[in-house]
Amino acid sequence: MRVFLKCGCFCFAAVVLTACQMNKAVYERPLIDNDIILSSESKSSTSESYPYSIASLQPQQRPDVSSLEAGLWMSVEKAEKKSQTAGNRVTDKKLNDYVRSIVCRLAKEYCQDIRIYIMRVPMFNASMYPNGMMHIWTGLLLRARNEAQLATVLGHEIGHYLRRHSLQRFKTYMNTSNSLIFAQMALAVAGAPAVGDIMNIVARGSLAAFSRDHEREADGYGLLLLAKGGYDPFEASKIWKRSIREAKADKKYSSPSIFNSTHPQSEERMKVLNDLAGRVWTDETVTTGLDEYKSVILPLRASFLRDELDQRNFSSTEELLEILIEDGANLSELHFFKGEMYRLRRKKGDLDKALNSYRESLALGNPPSVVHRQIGLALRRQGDAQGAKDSLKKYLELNPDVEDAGVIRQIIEESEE
Amino acid sequence: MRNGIFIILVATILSSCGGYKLVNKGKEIEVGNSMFTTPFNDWNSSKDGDVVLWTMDGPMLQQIIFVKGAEDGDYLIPVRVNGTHTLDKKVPKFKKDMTSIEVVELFESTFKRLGAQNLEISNVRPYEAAKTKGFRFEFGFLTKDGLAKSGSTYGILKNKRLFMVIYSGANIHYYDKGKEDFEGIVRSLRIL
Amino acid sequence: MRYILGALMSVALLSGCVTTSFYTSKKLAPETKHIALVSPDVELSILNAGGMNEPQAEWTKLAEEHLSNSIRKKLKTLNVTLVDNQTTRELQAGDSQEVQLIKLHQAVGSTILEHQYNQPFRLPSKKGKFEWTLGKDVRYLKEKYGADYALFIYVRDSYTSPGRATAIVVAALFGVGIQGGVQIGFASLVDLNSGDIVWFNRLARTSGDLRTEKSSRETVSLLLNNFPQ
Repeated sequence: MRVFLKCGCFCFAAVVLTACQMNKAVYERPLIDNDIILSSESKSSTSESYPYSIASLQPQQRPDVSSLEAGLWMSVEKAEKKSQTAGNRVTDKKLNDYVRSIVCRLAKEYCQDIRIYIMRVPMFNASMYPNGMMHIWTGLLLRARNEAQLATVLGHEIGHYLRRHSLQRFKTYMNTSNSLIFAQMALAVAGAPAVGDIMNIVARGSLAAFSRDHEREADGYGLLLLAKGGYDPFEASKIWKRSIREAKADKKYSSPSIFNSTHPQSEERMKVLNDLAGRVWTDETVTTGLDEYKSVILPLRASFLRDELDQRNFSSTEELLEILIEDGANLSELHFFKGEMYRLRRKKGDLDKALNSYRESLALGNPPSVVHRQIGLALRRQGDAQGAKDSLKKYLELNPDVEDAGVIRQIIEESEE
Repeated sequence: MRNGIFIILVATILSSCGGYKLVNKGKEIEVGNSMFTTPFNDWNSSKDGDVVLWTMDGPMLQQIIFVKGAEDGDYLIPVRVNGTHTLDKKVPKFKKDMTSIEVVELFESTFKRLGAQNLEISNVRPYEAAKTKGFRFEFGFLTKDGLAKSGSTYGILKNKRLFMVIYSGANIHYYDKGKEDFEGIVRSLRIL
Repeated sequence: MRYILGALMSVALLSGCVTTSFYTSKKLAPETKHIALVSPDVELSILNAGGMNEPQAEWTKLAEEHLSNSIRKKLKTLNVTLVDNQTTRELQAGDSQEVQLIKLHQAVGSTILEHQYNQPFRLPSKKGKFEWTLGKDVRYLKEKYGADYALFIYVRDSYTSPGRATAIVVAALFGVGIQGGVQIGFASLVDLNSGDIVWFNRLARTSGDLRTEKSSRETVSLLLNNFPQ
């Protein structure tokens, strides 16, 4: 039994090693034959020196109906039908049109092959499906500072599509799961307990190693498409810098587990993308698209922030709010949410911090209408009955027709009893 | 609970506890913790720890959740991670210093965590039942699959404990089917 | 839908019966002329050695045609025309009324599988009754498709790959059970006047084939077991 367990561990160490040997070259590849996406008469993109030998998809290319790829597309089409009417799809037309326009600016002749679905999920991510369905999470829209940073991620996802990464991963997974079941049976016969789990980790590890290179390659595409789309390529590494700050603020953050993360470490991405940005820099005028981004995202930001608070990852949310405050857009709203974060967190001293943030929000002149109500609730919890009453009354005075006026009056009356 | 629908989750938790018992119409029944009510129609009852769930046609179609005297530090409704028995620790807890406004906020966070999408709360207002001044509100949401549901809730804070009756059902047919019964259940509430 | 698949899977090997049906009437309403096949959901796959399903687009396309043709023939014997066109097949995201009815049917279908078929979880208030409905809002579908009933079909059909077959044999040698290919699904018939589900049938077995016209007839006759005449 011990022998088998060691074997398991060794395998997984081996997987780690191969993963770590991959380097900058994978990021650079799209930059070397960068005409695959941009010229209409695309050349075959297979290259012998390259580990993956699947050709890139051509514009409007559909897989042959008898192929494994067609089966994969069919399954995803069913998932896409669900996505179309999913409960958390964001249907705001202005937002959808805006993101779509960025995708087209990046994907050019592939524009019509990619369909976007903005999903209300408060995490920093987007994902690409083999058939051209792209999911964009609202947590990404909250975290990108400008259009160029959003485009970095969108371009990365387009890279996955072109390079058919899902198909490659699916094939590997099929092969891995095939060999796994025989290994598991052999181990089960030998009487080794819990080996299923170890084998699973090995399988997951090798899958992750495979896909980390996909991520690197997709990053390269993202950078290339960013530059060709007329955006400032130096924005690419900045979104990773922000993500690293947030991750480090999380109390549970330790060195990220290689098995739990299919993505290369953010530090590596940040550094390589910054190094390569100069290579794709063009002399033409580049933009970050800050004003356009703000005009579309800011009206929706409060709902994204509310979802973020519901995650209750307060340490990282605190840092995220810090980053957004440094960006400086609608500070009054940000300080209000900072107050909300402290009020909900309930750690020692948080009520004082909450009150300070609410007052900062007020001082900045443009707070959400419930700010006086929240000040009242915080003061009440601090035991300041009079202060609480005054703030709640002020809330009613400023918002006489508010829906919750009845219960607020009830709270005031109870405090007088 | 990100990968499933709230009601499916509740169904899974509850079904693990040995099925449903009949709640007879017209008879007063103790839901638990000295909380009594009298339904007009037959319901089916199931429970998971402190939470009691009633349904007529299955929890995916319509359900009443009774929160019967949550105390400081209790979850409003325990949320399990992906239908397992592991409790989701990222769900806020009831605190004895909460006002009705903060309970509405607690409800909102809990339901969102249970998978409710685009949850909208409306008409938060004072409401008296069980001879106690409490509060009510309505809500609407989509399941993760996109089925539209509506709900109505009554709650009271009594002796630093929280009692709630949370009704919800599919917008088509099922919400209306149980709504009158829910009103009767709220009107006939007794909390000793 | 993953939930439905799980519920169906769990019964596939446990129950002895290939199909079990419930119905409120053995007869269709008089004057029934049209039945609409709404948003059928079929998928054929190969179960590989590791237990992963490899979806097969070509087989699925053929199976959908076979299924539709066999149902059409069956209904013809009852003098009923099957309405099966692109609009009944596509879930139009823009038509929220229809989308909501189809989603409600999914919820009711899951509920039937959980609380009607699953003995320990039966609802005591419904004891001895088969009483399920989508409500009168279904008349929207009646208008839209000009049909008297709506037929809903869900089928997942997997075939054992050679690798999987080997694994099953090897495992059997050591007394380890591994599941082979399965054919599971359900069909339900909704009265578009009342919204009531008048017939519901569950299919679960470890054989069956939808890949050819001929063998699909056998599956359809099982899938439509006890279908009202």
